[in-house]
Amino acid sequence: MDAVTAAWITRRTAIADTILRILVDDLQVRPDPAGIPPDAALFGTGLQLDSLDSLELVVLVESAFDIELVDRDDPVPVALRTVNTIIDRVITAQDAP
Amino acid sequence: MSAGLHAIRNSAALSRQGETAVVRVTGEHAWDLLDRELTCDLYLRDGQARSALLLHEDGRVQADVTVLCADETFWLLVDGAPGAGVSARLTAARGADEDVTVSVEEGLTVVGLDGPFAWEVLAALEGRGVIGLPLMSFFTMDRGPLCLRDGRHGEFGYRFVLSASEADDLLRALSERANSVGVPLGLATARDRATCMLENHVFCVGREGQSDLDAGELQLGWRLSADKDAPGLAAARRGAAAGRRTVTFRADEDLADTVVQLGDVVVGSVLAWERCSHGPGIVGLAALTRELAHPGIGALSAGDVSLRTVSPPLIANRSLYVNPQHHRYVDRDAIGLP
Repeated sequence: MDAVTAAWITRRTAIADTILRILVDDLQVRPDPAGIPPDAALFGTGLQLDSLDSLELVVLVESAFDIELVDRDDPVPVALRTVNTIIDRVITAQDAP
Repeated sequence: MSAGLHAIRNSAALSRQGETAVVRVTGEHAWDLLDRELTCDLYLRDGQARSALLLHEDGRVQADVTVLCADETFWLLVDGAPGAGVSARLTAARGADEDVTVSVEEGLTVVGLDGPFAWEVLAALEGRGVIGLPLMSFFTMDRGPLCLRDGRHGEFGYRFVLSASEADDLLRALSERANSVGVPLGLATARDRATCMLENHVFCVGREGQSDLDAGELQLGWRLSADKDAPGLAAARRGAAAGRRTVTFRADEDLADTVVQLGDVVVGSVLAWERCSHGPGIVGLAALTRELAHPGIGALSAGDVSLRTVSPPLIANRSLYVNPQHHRYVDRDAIGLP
């Protein structure tokens, strides 16, 4: 594995660990991180978080990474769909100039 | 794009889902039996449903099961295994002194209604109250069918459990009501629905190539109880923690090879791929070694074709942008759909 790929995976894994800690410890979505697969839907038919959970999730993730996770004018929180989409959004926000 | 797929993406589509078996489990100990055999925690109230699995001992999926709790009766919507096989398994697992009756409801079938404006079609038939129906809950319609809101195709979705004759009546009634509110209603095939599931990384039990993966590797850990025991659960939990993992990918060309490599090293296999229905290139699903199973890995290849892993969904589902309280199909141009 080349250094760029390895660094990318390390970065994503670290962000994932923080998000999973929020979902397990703060939101108590599941007792086990393995029960929250990275591409499983957090809302709806997947892990069935509700709109109150989404508000808390946004606040906690924004606080953990010091970013703006969702555009407050955007009624569609697409970034919250899965752990991986949250990681994508965190990386985009961190890399923004 | 097929007409059925176009309808699921843009308006609404009906589908006959005859491949889904309906199994009824009833009796004083029905809950105990299902809790022992199914993977999920069965905390269900009357009118609620839950996604579960029946696993082989090695953690591979025998059947994809949606459990509906209707008072003291449980309805199982079963995909991936014959109803008779599931019934036989449950009957064999029944304790000698347990009061449980398991029956395959051969006379019942399943019809689907999916799409960003599926709710508008159903509301035209049943009233606007259906708009508030929570996900994974169901009600009994006036005509007799059970109506479950679940959505397995990335859009608003409902499944109806009903007799064959009721199915014909319901399809006719929904078509008439769709016409009355101006929603184009298509007919989606099983292939159309499988494409939607692929593009949304929704588990499709019949997909070839994934039969050697356990439920954890298939990213179904959310359907696995963290603390109870059931056949295959321990193996699936191990897979969720440390096995391979499915990822979605994009490619620019058709694939002739299913072996995925990073340089010269074999790191996984392609489970499914299709031409993208909404743009150029290929979309697909692969199982990769755990350390590489992340989005954004661009150094992979299958044969001569480069792959790039991406986060699903691979499309912008329009249901995310439609608010049933404010929008209608006829006003869709004002919604700003992607």
